[in-house]
Amino acid sequence: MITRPVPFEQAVTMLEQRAIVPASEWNAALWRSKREEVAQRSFFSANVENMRFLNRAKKFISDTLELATKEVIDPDGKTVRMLSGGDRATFVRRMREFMIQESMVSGEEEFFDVDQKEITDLRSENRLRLIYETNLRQAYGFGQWKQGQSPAILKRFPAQRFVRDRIVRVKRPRHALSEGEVRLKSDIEYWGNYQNDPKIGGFGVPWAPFGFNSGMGLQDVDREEAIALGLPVEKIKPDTKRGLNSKLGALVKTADPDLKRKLLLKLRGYEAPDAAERGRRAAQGLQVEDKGDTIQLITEDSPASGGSNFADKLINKKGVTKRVDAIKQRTLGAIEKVHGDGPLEQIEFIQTRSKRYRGKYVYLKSGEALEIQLSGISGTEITTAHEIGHWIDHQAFNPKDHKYDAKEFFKLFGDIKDYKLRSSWGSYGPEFAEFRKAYVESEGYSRIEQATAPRGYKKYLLSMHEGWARAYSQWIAEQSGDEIMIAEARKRNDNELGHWSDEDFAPISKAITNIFTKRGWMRKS
Amino acid sequence: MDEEELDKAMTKIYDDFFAKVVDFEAAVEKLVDLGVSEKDARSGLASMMTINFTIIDDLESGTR
Repeated sequence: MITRPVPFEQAVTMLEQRAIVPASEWNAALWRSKREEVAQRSFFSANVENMRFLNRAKKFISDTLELATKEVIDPDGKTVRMLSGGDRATFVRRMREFMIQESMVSGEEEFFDVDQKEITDLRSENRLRLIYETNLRQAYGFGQWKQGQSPAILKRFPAQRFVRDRIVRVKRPRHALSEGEVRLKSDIEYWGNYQNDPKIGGFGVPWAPFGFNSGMGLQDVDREEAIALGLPVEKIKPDTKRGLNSKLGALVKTADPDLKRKLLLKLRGYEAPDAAERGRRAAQGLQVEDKGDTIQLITEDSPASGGSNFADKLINKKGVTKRVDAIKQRTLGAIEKVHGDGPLEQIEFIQTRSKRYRGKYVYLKSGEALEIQLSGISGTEITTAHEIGHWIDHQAFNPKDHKYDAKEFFKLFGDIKDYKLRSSWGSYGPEFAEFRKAYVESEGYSRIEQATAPRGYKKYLLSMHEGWARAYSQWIAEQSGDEIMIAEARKRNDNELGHWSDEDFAPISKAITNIFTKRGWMRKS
Repeated sequence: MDEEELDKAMTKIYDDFFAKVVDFEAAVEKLVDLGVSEKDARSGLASMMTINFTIIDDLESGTR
């Protein structure tokens, strides 16, 4: 039994010694290669469990306090709610019971040794111990299952028996009734959806363990016995697609909205107050999708539901050097980490020799996108993201037929001469209202207004679509955690007009995240 | 020089810079001569280098 977090290799060895399959059939290298997936899984479920705990604790404390308090009249004549003398003991007792129930402590006796100041650490360690152990067991169970899917083993052992692997204090009734049952390994409905049913605390996957603190395991059943039991072994096929973290999600339907939001930030590594630090952490964070009632880990075999990839949609025209292509690829890599693109079609990518224009997004008045240009002399990752920001604004968020209702437009923006052109952009539409508010209220916007520069140029720099493209590039830098992009956005904020300090950018960042989230294109938010 | 004249003069310097008539340092110098702080001159010009989309007339009309 693993009673404390141990190094991965040590845990591997420990679990190998407990292997159900014969050592000769155990492919240790296969599941050693799952190190990163185990780490992701542990991080995901530890935080989900913590959020669930806090959710339960919040409700429990509020309910208990309601019972253990009474209304009294204070010296000022006001009615206040106070803990009553006799009920204080009840409150402490109920809290202790709750802590034991939640695995915060192993038993009543542990309260005698507790340093009260360290109660939070104690709680975390005990809870994380259980989560850590369960996740390691899951990795082990997956390793066994994966190995069992190899054609040779599947042919020899096409079925498995549901066996009790270790004694537990309380058996799940469904498991107790099913001990010894044999089914084909391919019977996902039975193994994943019935025996590992989330409704009975299972994990919804066809491999062990079958829930927290479950003692159930699997034993290979050979072909002869499976045939004798009447199982259709001829139809069995290996399942090669499923990964350890396939469909790893958490039901958050009943979660407190504030706790859910904090959980998302935590999972994405996005909870630091400082944007650059957030960026660094975000690069290490998980890609999770908020699906409303559930939070889903995004993996190769369970991709984000919204938005397709667009790494292959910027087509290089002849003359793009390796260096410029690397800039483009790095930018696309950063964007891919953050969001999908929805309906965008392919666009040409052209390298120029311009010294004065770092990049351009080129389009027709009719609304068709033509090309993205990047200067081989002055273009950078931030420039590339900036132009892609224009492209997305113009081609993915644009109104139908590139035209807004004129009355609505004038009401919002006054008598703008180039209404026809500006109404081609999503950044002038209702979907971007929160962004526009954050943008015009930012210090970065005021700095442009106050700068001594030609009015016409300033007007352009202040425009919504130009502000959007700059903000989008900074947002990609921040959300992807790309260090080169973060450094460049900061440099531009120091030396030029139009970018933002970390603090100033926070409301804009939130608004952009909301826009992509509502479209269902977010990978990380 | 009143505000209107100053704006016209600054606009010409910016236009000349983007039309490749003057280089960056020369444009900064001209703006400073007009009374613009060096910081504003540099940051303003540099920011405009991100003016980065071009509108092309409808191809059907034959004008680009």
